[in-house]
This record gives sequence, structure tokens and C-alpha cells, in this order.
Amino acid sequence: MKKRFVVALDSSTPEQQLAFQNYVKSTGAGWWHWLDSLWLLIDTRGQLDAIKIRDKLCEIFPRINNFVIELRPDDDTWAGYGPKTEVKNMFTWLKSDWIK
Amino acid sequence: MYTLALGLTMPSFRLVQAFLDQATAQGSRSTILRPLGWLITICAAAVLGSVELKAPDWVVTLFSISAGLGIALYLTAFIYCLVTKKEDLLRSETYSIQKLAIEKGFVGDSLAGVFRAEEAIHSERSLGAASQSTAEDDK
Repeated sequence: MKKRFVVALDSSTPEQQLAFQNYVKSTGAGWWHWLDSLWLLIDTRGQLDAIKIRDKLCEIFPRINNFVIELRPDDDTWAGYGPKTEVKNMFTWLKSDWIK
Repeated sequence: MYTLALGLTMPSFRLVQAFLDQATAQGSRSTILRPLGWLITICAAAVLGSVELKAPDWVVTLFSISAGLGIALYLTAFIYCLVTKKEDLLRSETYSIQKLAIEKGFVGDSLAGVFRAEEAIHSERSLGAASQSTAEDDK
């Protein structure tokens, strides 16, 4: 099943971009990266999921906030890495307002 | 008879197809010398094979000449690239992309390939949208 993902990053270096591109190519997924720190991926084999991509991003872009959303016709799903304290929590809005 | 022949050739065909799929899975072009390298390898194998199988002299001579021409062409291409400062042709596309990406950062996609981020900033731009009706903004 074909899967589509939007991947957003806080920042990235050319070396990290290259490492991520190599990872995407190794999975056989198509990619679009015309905006800095934003990637669109299309996985025709249906092997990837938001959590797998998020974990890979944490490996390639250590300590860099990221956000991965899988676009589904019926129900989107997402995964991310970023601040999650009582005061500063990047996931609160996503859980309460983005997907109701 | 035809069915039998087809049955025998199908697995081989699938094997070749699988090999080719694997070979192109990386999605990058090799150097310009790679095809010549293959030509030389095949001709050299053919020479050895024909000698081993005691083929007629003209067959051995034919393969030897082909191998010799392949080697000459390989060296000529190599020297031409060095003399004309086209060393990039001797490097694989993967190397060139990695060099480009490490130097400047890149933009692109899996269809169009990779471009320098700077080039994208300075190139001509226009609006784009999934459908014509949404090609303009809502001002």
C-alpha cells in the first residue's frame, strides 16, 4: 500500500541531508526536498511508518526537533521529537487540536 | 517444444531481470568507463573460454581483437578525460551528488535529481498548485 509522509525538521546540515537522502533511497521511497528542512516521501512498498522515520531522523539529526506526518485518506497519523515538558510541550496542541 | 523452451527460458529471464533490478536499485549512473570495463571483461572471458574449448583460431582471434580494441578504447577515454579536465566523467554520479551535497546543501526530488540550494534560490520561480483553480492565492 502506498504511503505518503511529510517530514519537517528544525534545522539540518548538508551532510545530514545527504545521510537522510541515502536512507530514503535505500528504502526505495520517492522523495521531494525543494524546501530547506522539509521532505515529502512516498513509499510505494508500504514499509515505512511515521515512527520508523522519526527514529531514523533522531539518529541522523541528533537533538534536532522533527515532525513526521503520514497522510492517509481517512485518518492521518504522526510522530515527532521535540520539547515535552509541562510548560513547553510541542505535542499538546497536536493531540488536542490537530486530530480531534 | 515451444512451451518447453519457454518454460526453460522464463526462470533465466526472471533471474536476469532480478539482477538488472538489483543493479539499478541504487538509482545512479556509473562512470563512463564502466561499460567499457564490462566489454573488456566479457571479451577476455570469451577469449579464455574459446581457448579452453579449443574453438577455431579465427574465433579466438576475433575475441582477442575485440578485447584489444576494448582496452585501447578504455585507455583512450581515460586519457581524454584527464587531458580535457573532465575528471567528473570518471567519477560515479553518486560521488558527484555526495560532493555537491557536502559542499553546499541541496534541493531536488527523486525525479528531477539534485541541485545546489543556491541555484534554486536564484532561478526563476512561479506559482504552482495541484489544480488550476487553486493556482492563485486568495487575496
